[in-house]
Amino acid sequence: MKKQAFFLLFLSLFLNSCQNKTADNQPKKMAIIISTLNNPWFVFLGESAAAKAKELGYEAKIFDSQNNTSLESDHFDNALVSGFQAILFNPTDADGSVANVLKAKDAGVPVFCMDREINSPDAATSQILSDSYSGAVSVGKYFTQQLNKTGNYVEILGLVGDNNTWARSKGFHSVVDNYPNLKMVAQQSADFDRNKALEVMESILQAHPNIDGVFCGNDAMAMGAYQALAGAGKANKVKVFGFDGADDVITSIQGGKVSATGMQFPKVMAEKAAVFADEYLKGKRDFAQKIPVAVELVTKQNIEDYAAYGKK
Amino acid sequence: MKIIKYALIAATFLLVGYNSIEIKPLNEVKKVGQKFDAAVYARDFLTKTLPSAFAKATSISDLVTALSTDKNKAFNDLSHAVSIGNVRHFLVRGEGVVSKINEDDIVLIVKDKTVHIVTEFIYGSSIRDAAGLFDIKQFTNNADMNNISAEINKIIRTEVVPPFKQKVKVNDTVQFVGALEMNQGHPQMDNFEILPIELK
Repeated sequence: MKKQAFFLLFLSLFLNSCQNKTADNQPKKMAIIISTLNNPWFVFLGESAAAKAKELGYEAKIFDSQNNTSLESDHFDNALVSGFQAILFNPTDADGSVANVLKAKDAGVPVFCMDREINSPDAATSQILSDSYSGAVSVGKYFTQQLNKTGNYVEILGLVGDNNTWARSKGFHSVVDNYPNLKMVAQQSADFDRNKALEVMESILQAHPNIDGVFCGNDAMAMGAYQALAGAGKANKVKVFGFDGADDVITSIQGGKVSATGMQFPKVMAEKAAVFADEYLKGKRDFAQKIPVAVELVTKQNIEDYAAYGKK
Repeated sequence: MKIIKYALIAATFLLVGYNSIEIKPLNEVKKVGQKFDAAVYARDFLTKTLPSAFAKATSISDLVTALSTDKNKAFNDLSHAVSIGNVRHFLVRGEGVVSKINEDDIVLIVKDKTVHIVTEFIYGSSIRDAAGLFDIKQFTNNADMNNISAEINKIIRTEVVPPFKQKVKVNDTVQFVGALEMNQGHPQMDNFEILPIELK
C-alpha cells in the first residue's frame, strides 16, 4: 500500500513537473503569414504585427505566401507543426484561404485576419479589416467632384479573388454610377501589381486615348498607370486616383502627379490583431467577427496631415 | 434464415431512408431562403429608429463650444463610429438662414457659424452611424452593412432633398437634423458639411 502511494505521489510530481517545464520552456510564438512581401505596404503590415507581438513578449516569424494559396497552406502546416500559438494572417484569397484557417482552427490555433477578408463567418477568431467600401466611397466622391461629374474614365482592379478589390470597386461605383456623364470606357484587373498596371494602362490607352480619369484599386497600380500616362504624354490631362496610402503615392500627391488616395492604417490593423491574439491566449473569447478600420481620403488639400501608411 | 435476411434488408432501407430525409417546418425553410433586404432595413432605420435620437442631437453652437473647450471630450461624448480610427460622426441639429444656394449644397448661417447642408454628394456611412444606434454585431456580412448606408443615402437624395430644394429660397429660415463627419486627428472647424436627415 505504502509502495503504491509512493508511486502515485512520484507519478503525480513527475507529470506536474513535466507540465510546468513545457509551459515554462516553450517560447510563446506568433506566426505572421502575409499574402505577399513583394509590395511594401504588406511588408509594413507584417513588420508592424511582428513588432507588436515582440512588444507583447512573443517570438514572431513572418511567412511570405507570394500570393499563392498552396504556399500559404504550407506556411500554415509549418506554423502548426512548429508550435506557434496564434496566427496573424493576411490572406491571399477570400475563398481559397478559408481551408487554411479552418486547419488552424481544428488544431486549436486562433487566426486573426488583417486587412483582407476571408469568406467564412466563423473560421477566423476575428477579422480586422480596412473599411475599403467607405474609403472608396470617399475617393469616388472626390473623383466625381474633380472631374466635374463628366468625362471618360478607366478602372484598374486588383486581384479578382480578393474581397477588397470588389469592396473598393463597389464603393467607388456607388457614387460615380449616379452621374450618367461619367463613362467607364475600360475596366481591367492588374492584380494589385505596378508593372501589370503599367502594361494594362498602355494597352487601354491604345484603344481609348481620350480619358480624363483613372481609378486604381491600390497605389502600386496607380503608380503603374501614372507611368503609362506619363509615357504617352497624358499625365497632365488625366487624373489618377489610388488606394492604400503608400510612400510613393504620398510623394506623388505632394508633387501633383496623383490626385488622391484612400489612406489605410496597416499599423492599427496589425497591432490590433497582435493584441487580440495576446488576449485570446490569456483567456478572452468574445471577439467581434468583423472589425472595420476607417480609411481616410488624402488629397493635395490635406496632404500635410499625412505620411505613408497612415503615419504622422 | 430468410426472415433474418429480409429483416436486415428492411432495416438497411429504413436506416438509409431515415438519414436521407430531413423534415423541417416550411416557415423555417422559407426563412433560410430569405435574403437580407437592405432597402427595407434602411427605411425602417430612417423612419422608426433614427427619429428617437433627434431630441438628443447636438446643436451646432453646443458642438462648436464643446470642440473648442476640450476636443477629445467632445469626440468621446458626442460622436459615434462603427469603425476603429479617427473618422467619427456627430448627430447635429440647428436652425439657420439660407445665405446661398449652390449646385451641390445650401449655405446656412447658424448664429455666427456658416454650415453647408449637402444636397448632392450624400454618400458614406455618416447618417447610419451618427446616432450610435446602428449595431454592427447584428451583421457578419460587410456587404449588408454597406448596402444599408447606400439605401439610407438614396432615400435622403431622392425623397428628402428634392422637395426641399424645390421650395427653398435665400433668406428662408431652415431647421435641420443631420450627420456631420469629422476627423478626430485633424478636425476641420471652418467647414461643416452636414448630410441632411430632416429638413424643415
